[in-house]
Amino acid sequence: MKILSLTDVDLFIPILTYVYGEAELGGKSAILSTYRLKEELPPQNRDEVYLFRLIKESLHELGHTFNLRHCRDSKCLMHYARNIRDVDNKTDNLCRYCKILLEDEIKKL
Amino acid sequence: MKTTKILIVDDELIMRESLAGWLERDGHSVKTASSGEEALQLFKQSRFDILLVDIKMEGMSGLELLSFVREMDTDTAIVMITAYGSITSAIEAMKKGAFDYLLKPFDPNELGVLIEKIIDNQAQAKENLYLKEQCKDRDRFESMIGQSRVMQEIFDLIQSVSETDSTILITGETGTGKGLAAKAIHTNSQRKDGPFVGVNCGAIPEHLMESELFGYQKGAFTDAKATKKGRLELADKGTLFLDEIGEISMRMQIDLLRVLEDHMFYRVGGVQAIEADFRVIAATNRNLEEAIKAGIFREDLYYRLNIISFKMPSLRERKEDIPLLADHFLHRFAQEMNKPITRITREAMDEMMLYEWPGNIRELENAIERSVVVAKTEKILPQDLPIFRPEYICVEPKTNSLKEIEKTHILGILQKNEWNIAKVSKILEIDRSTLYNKMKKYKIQKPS
Repeated sequence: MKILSLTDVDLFIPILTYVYGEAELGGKSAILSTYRLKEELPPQNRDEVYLFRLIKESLHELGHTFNLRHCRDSKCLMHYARNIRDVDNKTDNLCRYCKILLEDEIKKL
Repeated sequence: MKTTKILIVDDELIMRESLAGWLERDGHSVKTASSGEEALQLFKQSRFDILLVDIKMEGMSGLELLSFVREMDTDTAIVMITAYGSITSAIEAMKKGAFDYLLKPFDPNELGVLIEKIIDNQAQAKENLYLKEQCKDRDRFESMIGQSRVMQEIFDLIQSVSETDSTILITGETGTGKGLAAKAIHTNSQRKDGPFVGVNCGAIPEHLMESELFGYQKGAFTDAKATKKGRLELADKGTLFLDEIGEISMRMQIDLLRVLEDHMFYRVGGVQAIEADFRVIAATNRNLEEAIKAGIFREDLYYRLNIISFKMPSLRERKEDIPLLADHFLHRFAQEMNKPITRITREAMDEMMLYEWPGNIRELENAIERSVVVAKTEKILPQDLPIFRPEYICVEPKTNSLKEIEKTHILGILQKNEWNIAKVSKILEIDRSTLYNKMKKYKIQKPS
């Protein structure tokens, strides 16, 4: 079982000024902050864009709990978003490689 | 992702843990040390690509650690971490050879960009070195010489595997001539009139690897001004030599597996499948079976590569070839440098026979090259050789207990050889199970 917590406060870790989320690599739990996902929402479809961001970043953090690391493919779900534009730019899919790596991890379960 | 080895040195646990967690999720292999002293100990045991060091620490300071590490190694990039207000020491660190510094707390962007920059720089330096070595290899193909029994066996093996078209995996320590063996197989094979294309998997940055191997179509990305053939395509009708295969990223392992299976691939941005006919020879100095256990090498790729495999012997295993090789290098360098040096003295040769040559033939070649440069007479003397042979200094043991002395000795050899059990059991001239039993008896454990 994997557990994902959602919070609306901004998150940081002692050495970094902020993080979107944290997860145990290959572990059980992950946490995601919605705080920075509300930045620069387009007025015409705020809710839709916000929800899509939330889905993508939730899946990203859960991906870490399946031992997936950051991916260089900017369209991949496991791409590390440096800012909100990176979040919007990625899709809600894993790239070909991360898909195979996830399948490998699932086989191990 | 090709794992970059990072060591975090900070005396605050929370800093170490949070930074380590972030870097691990970014795909790096991370170790931590709580003091400069502990870091130095870890550094002596294994190599790191990057050191992230807090300047202010109890005991050995970050700056002191920087100086020690710089004396031992020049390739590791050291990044100093400093609090706002102690910028002067950060500048001092840069003068002492630090790569850069970060003011804490830092933006995750800043850290990510810096790590990427270091990886690219190091990869570039490695690729340059590899290309230089390849140029050298062209001239020293004839240097695959040896009269020892092990080398005669290798020559026979090369001859017989050349006749097949199977994938070959060559293992062996660095500097043992794995690349030369691959070339020898190519030149003796039916593909000899085709190209021999080498790829140093450990030297090409991951993000460039895909376009290097598969090529790209015009317009595939901003800099793709014209269509470029990748190395797989260039190796058509010839041999593709994948050097340092153990360093390849997990992503490229997936791609390579597919290519090895059907010899079809797409250029980056291309829609047309390209077929290339090449034979693959891969080489590594890593223990791939251990890499599989550690989850950094795919088992299916290993079995695909390991159709025929052999190990190049280390120079220690063929010491009788040292005089032959040394003379060969001497004549070559003397001629190249136009120096009238004709022989190596018996004393110098004895030194060479006693030395362990961890860098193997490449180290021997470099040693002879240097001695030809510095030699002042027509012969090579022991003092002309740049080899350091640790003398066994007879010190009064701190204890008279035989058990204690044995324990200390085993521990020392293990640490010196990075806890490589096979190597250590060979040095101690005991078998592996005896070594394990002794480690168990003396409660000797590899530090995690």
